[in-house]
Amino acid sequence: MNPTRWSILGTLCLALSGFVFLPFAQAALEPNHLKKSRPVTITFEPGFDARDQNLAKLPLVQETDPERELDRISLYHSRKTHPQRVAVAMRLGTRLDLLPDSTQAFTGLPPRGVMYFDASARCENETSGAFDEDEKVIEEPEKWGEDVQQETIADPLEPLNRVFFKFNDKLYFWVLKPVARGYRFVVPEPLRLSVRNIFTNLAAPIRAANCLLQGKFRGFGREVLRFFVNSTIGCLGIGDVATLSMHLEGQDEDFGQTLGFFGAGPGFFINWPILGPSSVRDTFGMAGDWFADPVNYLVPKRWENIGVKGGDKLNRTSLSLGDYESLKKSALDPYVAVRDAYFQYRKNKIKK
Amino acid sequence: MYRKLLWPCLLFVAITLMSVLPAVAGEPTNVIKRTADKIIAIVGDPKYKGPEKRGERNRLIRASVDEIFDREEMSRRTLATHWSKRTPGEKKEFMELFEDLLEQTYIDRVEGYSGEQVVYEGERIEGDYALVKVNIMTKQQTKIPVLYRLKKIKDRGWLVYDLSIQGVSLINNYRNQFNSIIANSSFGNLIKKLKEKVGSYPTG
Repeated sequence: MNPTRWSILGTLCLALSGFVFLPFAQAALEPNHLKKSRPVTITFEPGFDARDQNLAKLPLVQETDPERELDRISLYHSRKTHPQRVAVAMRLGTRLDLLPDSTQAFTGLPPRGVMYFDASARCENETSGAFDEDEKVIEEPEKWGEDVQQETIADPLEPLNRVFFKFNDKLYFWVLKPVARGYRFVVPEPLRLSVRNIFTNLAAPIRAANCLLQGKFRGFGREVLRFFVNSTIGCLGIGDVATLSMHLEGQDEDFGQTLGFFGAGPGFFINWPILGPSSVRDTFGMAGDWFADPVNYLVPKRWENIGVKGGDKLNRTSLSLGDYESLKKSALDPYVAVRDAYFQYRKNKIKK
Repeated sequence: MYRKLLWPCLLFVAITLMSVLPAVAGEPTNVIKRTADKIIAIVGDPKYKGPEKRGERNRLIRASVDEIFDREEMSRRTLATHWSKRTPGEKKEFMELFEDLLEQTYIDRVEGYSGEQVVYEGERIEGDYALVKVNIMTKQQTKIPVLYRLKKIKDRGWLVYDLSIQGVSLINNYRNQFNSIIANSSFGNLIKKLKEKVGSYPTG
């Protein structure tokens, strides 16, 4: 048997084992205190005391707001780093249902749409953990406009980068865009979305490995689960079942982010021809990811490999035509706009 | 044929927008939502379809955006170190041009609107500052997180002074561009470039 057949067989075996191990993995990932306690229904009666309720180990905080004469009950996911308020209910006599399905319990996503309020009830400033810890309301309150130090990325290669920027710009408008438009015309969108999903699913080992390297075990578990679910039920990744029906969203981790996680700064900006905006750190990142990319093992021959990756790029471009154009249109200096957007985007990714 | 489909489509958009709004939302979220709803209604209104109605439609969108953008705060934050060095006249000229640019960028984006869902994720308030988090779900099943930054201004209420799309702050991005232009040439050149950019858009 040739290597291609082996790899197909391997994928199938992996997919099958996913079926067997899925329930175990699911159970293993579920936090203990949430296992038995749902759905939870609390009915608020006058004189309600949260401590009387046998709510397993769900941490529950009861506060009384004397001004509005109502009780406010907050339930928190007891996550070590940042407790998330799961639900807030108030008004005596109203019902609070906690109905998140089990997937939400182990994905740690804040359950949405599970708050039932009396019409006159109002939520205080915060809506259940929609925000990350570092999304501060006030960034730099004082002295804005006076001597704010703008965070930027160093760009010692600017003249050369600008040359490549121009080159990539022409490459996009003269080659990639016309081809992608033709492709878009011939191939219907659902098919193109499927192709995108297959490639995204195939890259799961990259994301999983980088979750593991950063000690994000929950993320690792999610990626592994996603890969099993999408490779099997999702028919080799065509459908993203994990996101659509299990709320298991992809992790979007790469080796550049892993390096950043361990404190590596971006170094300086590099605008590669063809590959586009990057940095010293992320260039090493790309190289690292190459080793974890299954495409390189499934299609090892150089030209075939380039062909497959080019196909992925073309397909993705066909789904995002117009994005680059509008960025360029709104910018006074498109090169600086792209450089800064890249820097901010990556910085934001590493924080997560 | 298309006209027949229009009203059900609009209704659908309205219903999806209503249903994805959390049961409880504070004032900053309402400010964002009101404007978003208004603009979606304008874009979808058959009255303003067609190129000859474009001017009228853009004027309406512009007015809606105008209501919630704090152009002075935005300008100040964008020019940063260069702001205090400018004369009141220069500040005014810059503010107007920058606002035009932002509005045109906004109109440009809205023009491509095709029934994306706007999911209001939550808000956070600290004194006079607030964050509103929104996710835009595209037809291609991708999620675009948008973060609005608002400040409470006396008499005018909550106003937007920055927005980040996928973690990229608009104000930071422009500040970098403007900084680079001023550093390499002059403030006058920045104004010249702004005028060219704003002028390159179709009028109206």
